[in-house]
Amino acid sequence: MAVTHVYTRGVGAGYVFGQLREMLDHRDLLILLTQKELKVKYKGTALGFFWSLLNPLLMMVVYTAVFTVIARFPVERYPVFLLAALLPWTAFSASILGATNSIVLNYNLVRRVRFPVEFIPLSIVLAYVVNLVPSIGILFLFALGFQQPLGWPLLSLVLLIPLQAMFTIGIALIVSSLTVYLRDVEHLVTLGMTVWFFGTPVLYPLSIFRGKALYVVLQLNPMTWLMDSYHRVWHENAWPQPGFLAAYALVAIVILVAGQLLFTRLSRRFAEEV
Amino acid sequence: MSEPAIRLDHVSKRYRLYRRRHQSLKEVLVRRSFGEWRDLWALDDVSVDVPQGQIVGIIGENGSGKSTTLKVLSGIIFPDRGEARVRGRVTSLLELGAGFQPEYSGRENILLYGALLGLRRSEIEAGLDAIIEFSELGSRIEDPVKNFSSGMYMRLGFSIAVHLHPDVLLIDEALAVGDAAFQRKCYARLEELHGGGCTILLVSHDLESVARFCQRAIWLHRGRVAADGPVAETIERYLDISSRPVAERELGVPIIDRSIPAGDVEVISARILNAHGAETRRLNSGDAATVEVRYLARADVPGAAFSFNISRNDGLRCVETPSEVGGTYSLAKGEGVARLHLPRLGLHSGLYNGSIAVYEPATGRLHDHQDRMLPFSVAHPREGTAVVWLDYEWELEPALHSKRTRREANRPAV
Repeated sequence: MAVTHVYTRGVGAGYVFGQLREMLDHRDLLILLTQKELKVKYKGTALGFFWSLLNPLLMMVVYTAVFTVIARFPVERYPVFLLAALLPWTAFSASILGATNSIVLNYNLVRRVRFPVEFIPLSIVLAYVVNLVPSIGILFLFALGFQQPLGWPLLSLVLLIPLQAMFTIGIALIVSSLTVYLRDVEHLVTLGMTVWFFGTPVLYPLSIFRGKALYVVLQLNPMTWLMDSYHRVWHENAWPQPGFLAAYALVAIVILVAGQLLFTRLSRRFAEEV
Repeated sequence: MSEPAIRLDHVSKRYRLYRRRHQSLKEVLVRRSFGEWRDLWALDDVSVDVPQGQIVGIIGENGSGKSTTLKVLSGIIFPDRGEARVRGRVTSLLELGAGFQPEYSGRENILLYGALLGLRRSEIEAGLDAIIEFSELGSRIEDPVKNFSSGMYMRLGFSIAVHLHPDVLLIDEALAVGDAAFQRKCYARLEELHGGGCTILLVSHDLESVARFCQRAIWLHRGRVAADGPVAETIERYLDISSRPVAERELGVPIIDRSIPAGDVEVISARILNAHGAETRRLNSGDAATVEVRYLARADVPGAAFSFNISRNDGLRCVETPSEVGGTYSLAKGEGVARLHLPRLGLHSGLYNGSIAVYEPATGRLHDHQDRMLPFSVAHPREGTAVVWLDYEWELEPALHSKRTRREANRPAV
């Protein structure tokens, strides 16, 4: 039974449903694009995947020097504490920065072929998520080296990583589609990610602000909920705080759905605007 | 009746033509607008039904909405009013290259393009060899496509599009490049798809191809359907009603092809003059016409001959006019003009194409052959399917029960 494509001005529920079905039909495209992203990342480098670790490791050395030697943070095994959040944060921020102008860069495809354009930002996010898995293996070995106690709470990564992926995809859909219409979104995103990084407990534990106004403010940031969970799992051998986990799951779903709806709406004029 | 393969139901599409575009958030916030624009209705209330398996040509001037129609049917842009419906798998060859990734090899681009069209990887791999073979790219298929010529781009794009089992195939000027042999192969392949029930929409400036290949033609004029029906009628109306200079451009520009270097004599240009000595590309059956060929002889050539040969748009050779029948000519070095006088053009209505050859009958040497370089149309008030239009006269003997003799000289109208 042949599918009938119907194109009109409106974006009804039927259109959104058709859109999802089209994505399912194009699943091999998503795989191909993700492979391409991974290939581009490691292309021409003998060390391949290890290059993607180099940046966080270097940052870890610098931050460790700054926060343990100079600022004298009261955190034991600081490198483990730091990497536990820095690796997923890097995946998050690199995904968003990469996705922002991804559609504009691929105008060549967008203007000529009908396909789920979502897959362009999506493949970038997925490539970083895939890349996160071996990084976690390295982190595990690293933690063992520091005699970090580890245990069952590590299982919560099975939930944390997919939730992070959903949240990242949602934001990637929003910023990539807005950039088509407003080119300076890219600059705002670059700036925003830096501010967001320092406003999220990656380098420092949330607990150091306990009793201060900032403690409450920081807890309004969804990435705080996620990064605190990573800290607990890797550094304290404790399960994530249930309130944080539930709140993050809810926000991730909301952002993903909102991002997809906005994208569907805005994508209808991509071919004319890119 | 089953549902048509393609339905455009009162489709209108508006483009915003920006005089000034505000693309930064700052500008948008400060000026509180996305810029200054005026609206252009690229499609204005277009309704068309295409039954499954039909081959339809879309003709019209530049900016008449042809490409927009295909983009709407591809689902790349969306109508502002009305509804477009397309049944089955749609493959489109919208512009040259169809979105190839320049850094990818030809082979990788096949995989990518297939995936973009929603095919499973296994389906694409099953067709890979056939695609590569059809494209005639050979081992170049492993090269990055950024090193391809436009002809190679087109061959690859076309090969992919026609091998991925489309139910509906949308082609926009894709066959304009490429050599004649490959074009013939493309049309043969399209015929094959057509035989398998594929619905084909072909946008072209090349009226000859449309006439030869399509079952139906739609003429779009300023975003509206100006004519829709049998190919010959639509083209006729298009040529009649469109402003003349444009219509002549659409007939095809006379092109001197220098892919094969000329010998001692080369054709510089050729044109058709009507009885009043004015240049034209539209003639009527029975007209007097002169074909004027300017040539350049690089050396003295004794015993040269010219021939102006006319083919119908479907390739049927209709007329040959070898000058050697009357004798050969000695050409002196330098430029010159050869004129062929046709006192009464004996062709029926249709689209024709003139070829010019300069050769030496004694030695068989061909100095220059410009194949199908001069397209022209012939009109006659009465439609017909024949090629030749002769002077003729009917005479009837009086019947037994009638005293009246009727004699009718049927001469072509001028």
